[in-house]
Amino acid sequence: MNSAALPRSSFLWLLISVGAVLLPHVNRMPTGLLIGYGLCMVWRTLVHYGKAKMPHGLVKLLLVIAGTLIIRQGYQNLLGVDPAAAFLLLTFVFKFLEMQRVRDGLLIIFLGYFCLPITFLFSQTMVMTIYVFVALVVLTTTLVKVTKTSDQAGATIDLKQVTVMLLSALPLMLVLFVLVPRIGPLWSVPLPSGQSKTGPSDSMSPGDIASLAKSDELAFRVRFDGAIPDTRELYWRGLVFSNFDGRTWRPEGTPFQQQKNASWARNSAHEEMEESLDIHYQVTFEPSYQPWLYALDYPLTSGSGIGLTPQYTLLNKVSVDQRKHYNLVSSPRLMIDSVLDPASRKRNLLIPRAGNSRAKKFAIEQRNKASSDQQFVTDILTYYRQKPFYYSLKPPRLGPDSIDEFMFDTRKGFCEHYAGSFTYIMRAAGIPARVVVGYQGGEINHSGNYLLVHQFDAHAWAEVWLQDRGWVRIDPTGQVAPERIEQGIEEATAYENSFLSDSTFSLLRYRDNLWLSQLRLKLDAIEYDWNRWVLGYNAKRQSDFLKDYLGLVSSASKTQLLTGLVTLFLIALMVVFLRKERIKITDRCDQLYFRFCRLMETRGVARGAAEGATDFSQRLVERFSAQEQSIRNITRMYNYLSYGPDINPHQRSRILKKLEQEIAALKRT
Amino acid sequence: MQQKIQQALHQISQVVLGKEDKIKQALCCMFSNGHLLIEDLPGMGKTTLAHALSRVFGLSYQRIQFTSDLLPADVLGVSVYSQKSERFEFHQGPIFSQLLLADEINRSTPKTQSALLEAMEEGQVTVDGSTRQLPAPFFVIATQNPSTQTGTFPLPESQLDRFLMCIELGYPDPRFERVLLKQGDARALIDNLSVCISPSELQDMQEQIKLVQTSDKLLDYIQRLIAFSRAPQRFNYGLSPRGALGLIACAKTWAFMDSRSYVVPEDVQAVLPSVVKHRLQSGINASEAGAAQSLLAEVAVV
Amino acid sequence: MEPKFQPFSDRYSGKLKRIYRNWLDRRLPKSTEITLSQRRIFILPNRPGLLFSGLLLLLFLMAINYQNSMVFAYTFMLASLFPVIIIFTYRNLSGLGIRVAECSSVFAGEAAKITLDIYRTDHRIRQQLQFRWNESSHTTANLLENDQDQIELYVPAEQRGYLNPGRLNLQSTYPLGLVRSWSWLRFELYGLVYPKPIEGELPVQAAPGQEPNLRKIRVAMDEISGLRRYVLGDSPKQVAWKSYAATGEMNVKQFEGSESEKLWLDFNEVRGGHLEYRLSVLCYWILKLEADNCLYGLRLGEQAYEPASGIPHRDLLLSALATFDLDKEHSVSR
Repeated sequence: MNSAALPRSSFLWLLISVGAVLLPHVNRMPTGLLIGYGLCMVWRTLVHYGKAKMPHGLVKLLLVIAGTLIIRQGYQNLLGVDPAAAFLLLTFVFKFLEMQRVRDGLLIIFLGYFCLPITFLFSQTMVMTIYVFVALVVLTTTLVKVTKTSDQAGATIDLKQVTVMLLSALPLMLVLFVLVPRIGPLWSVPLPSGQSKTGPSDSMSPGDIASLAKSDELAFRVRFDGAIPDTRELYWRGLVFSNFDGRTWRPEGTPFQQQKNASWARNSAHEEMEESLDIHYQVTFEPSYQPWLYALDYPLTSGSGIGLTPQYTLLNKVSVDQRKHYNLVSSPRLMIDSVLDPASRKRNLLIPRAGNSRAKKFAIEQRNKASSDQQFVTDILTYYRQKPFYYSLKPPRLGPDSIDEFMFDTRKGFCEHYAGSFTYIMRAAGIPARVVVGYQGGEINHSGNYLLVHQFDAHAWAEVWLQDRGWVRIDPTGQVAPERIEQGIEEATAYENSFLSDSTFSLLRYRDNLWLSQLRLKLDAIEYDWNRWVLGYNAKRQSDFLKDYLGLVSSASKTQLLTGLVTLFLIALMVVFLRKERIKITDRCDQLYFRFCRLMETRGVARGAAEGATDFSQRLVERFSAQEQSIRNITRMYNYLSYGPDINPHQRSRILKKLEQEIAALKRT
Repeated sequence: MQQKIQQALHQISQVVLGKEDKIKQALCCMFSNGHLLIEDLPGMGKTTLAHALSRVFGLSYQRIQFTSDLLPADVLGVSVYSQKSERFEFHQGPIFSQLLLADEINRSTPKTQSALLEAMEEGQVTVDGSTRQLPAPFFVIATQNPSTQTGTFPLPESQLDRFLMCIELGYPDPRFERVLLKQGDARALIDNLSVCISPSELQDMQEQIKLVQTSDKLLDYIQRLIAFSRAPQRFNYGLSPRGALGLIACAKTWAFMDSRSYVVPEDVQAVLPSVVKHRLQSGINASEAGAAQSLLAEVAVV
Repeated sequence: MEPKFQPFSDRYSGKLKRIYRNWLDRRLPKSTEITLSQRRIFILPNRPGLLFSGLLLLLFLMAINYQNSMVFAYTFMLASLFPVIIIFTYRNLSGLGIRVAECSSVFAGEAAKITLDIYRTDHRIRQQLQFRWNESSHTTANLLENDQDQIELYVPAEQRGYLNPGRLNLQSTYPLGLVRSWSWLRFELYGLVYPKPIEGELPVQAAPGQEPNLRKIRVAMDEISGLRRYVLGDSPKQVAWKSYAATGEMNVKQFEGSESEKLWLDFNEVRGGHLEYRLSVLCYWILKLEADNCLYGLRLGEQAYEPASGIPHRDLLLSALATFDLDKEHSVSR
């Protein structure tokens, strides 16, 4: 039967199925491939309508080679998930092109079943999940159509059938999802690498963060155990840059050294501190494809797989390719590096010998004027505030002496300009200073009571080391644009209207619109819960959930529960779908008459199925002569309603009511 | 109207003793404008019944005794060459009457039978290329001997279907038999019967009967009956659509005779044995008499 | 599509097959009307179904290795679908009624037409009901809005006697084609297989020295005794068309003596051949004489059928031939 020709009625469904499987991959595929897929689908459609011939063997071979070449061209390495997915989709589409028999149709559906969840490796949003479910309905309906030999039913019958089937499988799916033990990966697999790294990179040049600020992508979400701290205090440190080459700031040490220097155990420093000031919070971090994580000043703990560098930044063992949850405690009052070792001191004072001479001179002049380091810092900040500095997302280009140009000429810049120039001047004046890059602020989602941090919240600030105070956070941007710190970048750049100017359709751009804003935050709250509870449901969460909510610890009891629920589900299925369908009596008149018959049966006279009402009443009257009038009335009314002339509904219901009363009265005798 | 029916019934039962039930069936058949087949042994009063019916309806009455040598021309009439007018003249056969009693119809050859049955169906006779209308109303009451008797040509099913009803008279009750034996031949009494229902009244009645209601629920029941009769191996042949229509027509008449303007299942049940008797031939499993009974007993009313 | 029972070696296959058949016979007895219930329905995943299980395994590996919650959910969704498929496939057959509507009688060597009524005892939709008596005779039925359907199957009738085409296979893989449910139906059929007509000499008992002459018989029928006026109901065959052409009057020829010549076909008069051959020759002559409007009777063993003519008479005689001297086993199994 599988070698029979594919039923024609299934073609359109197959076409839709192929489209449905391809659609989520469209924006990740090389254009050439996309065109190829489209071509194959159009070709096969033309064949279906008799407008073209099936592709020749040679043509097919050429197509395969072309496809392979495009994949090779489009993806650098062929071992990643993306090229693998592209190859699978290629097979899928080629099979569609050459399909003729039922067997081919089956293979296409099975390939589709396999290709469909691949999109989950790239995106697991709720919208995508709903999409995949709908696509699953389509694929399964296509399977029905493909395996039919004679199709008389319209599309709706099978579509309905399949939807009912999938929905009735849903409960068991939930049971399995919650209860089936989650095993760790059996072997390491290449993860999707198609996406570019997001968030601050491991270096900072003028303009880097400004470009980041154009993105409305989500960086991470934070849920605080207590109240959400004041926005001005929300400095999410991520990277500390100590090395400066005149233009670009870099962290100290190679990534390997950073890994080595990080402490991977719990920090003990905070024991002496007042715990009441500690901030406890959980971060749900979106994949950034970079190893560093973000924490409020200053993180005290490091969880499993997270290291704490000497600069108090967090480091993940590997780059974050998947959404990551971590719990943190931060202590805002913590004094770090109360004693600065000479090597660090030296490093944090280093500036290139050449260039930026005006800045150097300015720094020394100012230092000499100031009475103390502290005073000097204040003076410089005052300088920023008093001179005509502008906070801008569109800073002018800077030449080789970028600090000089910015400080004395253009005076238009984004946070990295301020943080960079400030740090430079501090160093030039002999005060150890460094740049910290991360995020500042965030958007509070009241419907979910958590904080959203977007890419445009990226920020850079400075830290200076002062005697007896350790490293002190100084944010020169706050002097220029206090709105940035208090209200966020949107307010700070309002005057030039540059916020998210490239992404017209971003909902975030319309934060002014109250209604839209609320809607967006509501959706985000749902998405957040989705991420936490559904996508983040891993082995650990599973065991926690089972322990906390169901009190199950031993694996035997878990297995028992699983078996029990599966059995229950199967029984429920059978009860629901295999029960004998009783022919329902819909006619009210018949219902009442059957009630009468049952009543009479309890009194000893049963009506035969083939016995008419009049005949039955004859027998009844012989037996119950006392109720003769009542029996005759009931029979007359029933006959009249059932067999008599058509009467209007009002009249009918009146007689029905009377019939009901009569039967009730008879029941009482 | 109903009074007149009662009167007719009463009158006929004066001459056909103890068969009120059968007479009522026969009347029902006539009101339904159908032909009647009476199946019984000779001498059971078939002829008497037919004659009595013609009297109370005031219909012209003819009787043909069918024999094996009876020719179609003997029934329909024949053109005879007349010397006087020098052309063929048509001599009407006995079929040109309002009520024709075709006695022992199964004793004649199929050819003669079919000549009669075609005339019955069409209400007209075509002889020598000219069509002659039969008088209206036109009823045929045919009697037939049980086919087990020798020298019979059983009517084929297709012909039987043209009779609306088939009844059996059966032996009279001993009580009535005694009366019968005492009073002697009842035939003399037939001439004393008076006309109760004139042909025009009969026509009116038939018009009124057409107005009797049959509800959907009732049609459901009838369809169940038909479907049951058509189940394989139950009967050799199921009920034909014509049979089903006949069933409804008779049930309507029965309801009308019961002074009701709508049909109830009991009406159907009352006429069903007569309507289906000659149409259903029991299958391998059932006995001949059981056909109607099994229909009545096994098909649910609601 | 017989379920493939491929036992360990061919030596046992025959025996196993027989045991399976016997078991089936006991489990599914003959009847004219069958309602499918769990007693009669078998259900197993078919090849695509097994492939589907393989697919599930692959998906599960993908979910594990990528630790991807949604792929887990997706895999579990498809896995949960499997029991649902089984139930729906079973549901497609259960509650289905099949009865023999008509079963024609045929001559040996022809194919007998068997008409089956398919109906449902509930209101569920049934699709893709595949009926198969053998490779050449299969059909697919659906019950969508209609509560009943009729299918026709043709089964070859090789042997004279009662029509016995064996078990009818009813199967369905609806809805998803991953699970196959099937049943074997044995029907009590009333069809007869008449002997295959074979031309031979007319087997009539002739008076000694007198050759039976068919021609003479026919001539006897043609002896016209007179003409009479045409009356409605007369056969056009007997109209004297010649005189009609000459005079324009429709007259009918009247015959005599057709009853005097009665043919008695006799089993014992068939020359040579074995039982089946003799019956075949008798069969040929019954058909021939009926076509020629003769009156003919039959002497078959101890039974004698009075000469007559007409289709019912012919069928009666043919049935007698079909059931004549069937071995005991057959008649018992009836």
